[in-house]
Amino acid sequence: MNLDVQSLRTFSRLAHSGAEEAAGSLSTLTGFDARVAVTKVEMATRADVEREFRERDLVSVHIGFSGAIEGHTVLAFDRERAVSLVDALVPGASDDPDSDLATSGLKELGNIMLGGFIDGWADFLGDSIDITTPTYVELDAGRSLQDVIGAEGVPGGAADTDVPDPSGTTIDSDHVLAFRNHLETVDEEAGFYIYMLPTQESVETIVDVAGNAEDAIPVETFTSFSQMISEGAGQASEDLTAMTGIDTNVDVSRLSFVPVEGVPMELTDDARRGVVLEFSGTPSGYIAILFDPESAESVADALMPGMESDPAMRKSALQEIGNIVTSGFLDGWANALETTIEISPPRYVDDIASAIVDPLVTELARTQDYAFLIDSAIATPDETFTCDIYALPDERELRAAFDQLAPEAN
Amino acid sequence: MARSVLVVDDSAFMRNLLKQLLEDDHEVVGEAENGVEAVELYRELDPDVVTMDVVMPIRNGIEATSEIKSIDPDSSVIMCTSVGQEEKMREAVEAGADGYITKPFQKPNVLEAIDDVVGVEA
Repeated sequence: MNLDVQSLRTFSRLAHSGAEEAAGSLSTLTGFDARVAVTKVEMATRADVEREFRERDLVSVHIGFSGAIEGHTVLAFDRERAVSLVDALVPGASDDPDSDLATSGLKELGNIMLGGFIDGWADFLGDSIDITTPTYVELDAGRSLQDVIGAEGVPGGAADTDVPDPSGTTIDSDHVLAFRNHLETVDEEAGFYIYMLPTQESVETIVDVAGNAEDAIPVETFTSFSQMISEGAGQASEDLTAMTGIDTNVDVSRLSFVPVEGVPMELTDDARRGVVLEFSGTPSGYIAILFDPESAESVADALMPGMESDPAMRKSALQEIGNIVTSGFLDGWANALETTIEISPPRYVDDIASAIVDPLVTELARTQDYAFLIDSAIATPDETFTCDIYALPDERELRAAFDQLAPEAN
Repeated sequence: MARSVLVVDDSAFMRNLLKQLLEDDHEVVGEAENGVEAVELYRELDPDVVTMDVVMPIRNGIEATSEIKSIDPDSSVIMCTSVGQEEKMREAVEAGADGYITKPFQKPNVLEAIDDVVGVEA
């Protein structure tokens, strides 16, 4: 199977308009004023998607779809948000949020929102898409997401007798192409998430209609690159551990395709400290290594114990960490592509995260309307610190890099 | 035997760290934070060894190494850099670097690299 940027744009546009439909339904049903914050087309590992759901204590409504395209959609929300939704849908039912009446309300909400989400895809394909009845699933740390993203030989999860076998949603044994939408309401930060996981055949169907064959890249190239990102994050994590003496792990590592203007919204509005660097070569772009303020202090403490009174040196230490993490992250790409990626000296930043990336995005927006966003998170097991890595390569140059990874696509 | 070392890095933190790693075994005779300063201090101090960062403002470590080698072909320059790209390592070798160690490094790596390029004994 091949993918091309034109298809990715179509995926993104359809997912976004579908999410807007869903947000409209949510507002009509509950009175919450909802809007679509972010729409991402994501090449993720199965483990990352699973982890994201597990760690967030999400409740969700699942719907399968079949016909012109097949797969699964999931409407997920925080447990607290579920209670407020139940209150809005069935006044009084939140006293017992696990009651049949309460879960029935949530299932119907999911049915309407996800149904609206799917409609746009059917219209685009000029064909019909049937949806299954909704299934309410509580995800906790003890459950895997097999019923969402599928596993070889493992049928759907609990109470999913009318949900299609989801094993076909995987691109290969490790990766999944996911459409991820974040909806938020005006009054509260807690959001809603809509995932759509089409089968590989369905992705091919849409690519056939929307794609540009001349521009196509084998999907294996995307997964290879996704693997390179994971390995780069792993190297960065090792370097962080070597520098600080604190064990770290890669929490998340993702490649996604987003509208350029949506990139800042993907980042938090909380304060972050760290560095921004520019890289040039094939590909060129920007990278930001960001710590929350407490993590930045923890890292500086680990690097320079007993030097709390020297802020300039602590800042320098953070810059150097950023420099080393960036090299760890990018060197693997350069070596795999048999090229050189030049890295600029690190520029120290201290601002809200979205404001830090805003000027980088403005620069990219001069030449492209969509961006490949690479984001990884490195954390210590005890959460002494977390480090977020965001890379924004030039879209055309990254495509050139993809071509180098897969010369047979030319 | 203690060697005189010129430490070149745009990061004050990294210069400080290298000084701490070297203080028991060698003498840091100078610090430079870019390639231009590195060349000037090399002429002035004539150190036994230069530890040279690669990515620096004004003039990078590859260019500075090349210039130091043109001034003194017998100079000993160790690239101390976070860049682990094979192409970059080749560039460093072509510029005349005698050793190459990748950050983050530990004290034994740095001391071993110095021994490798200037010898354990005088």
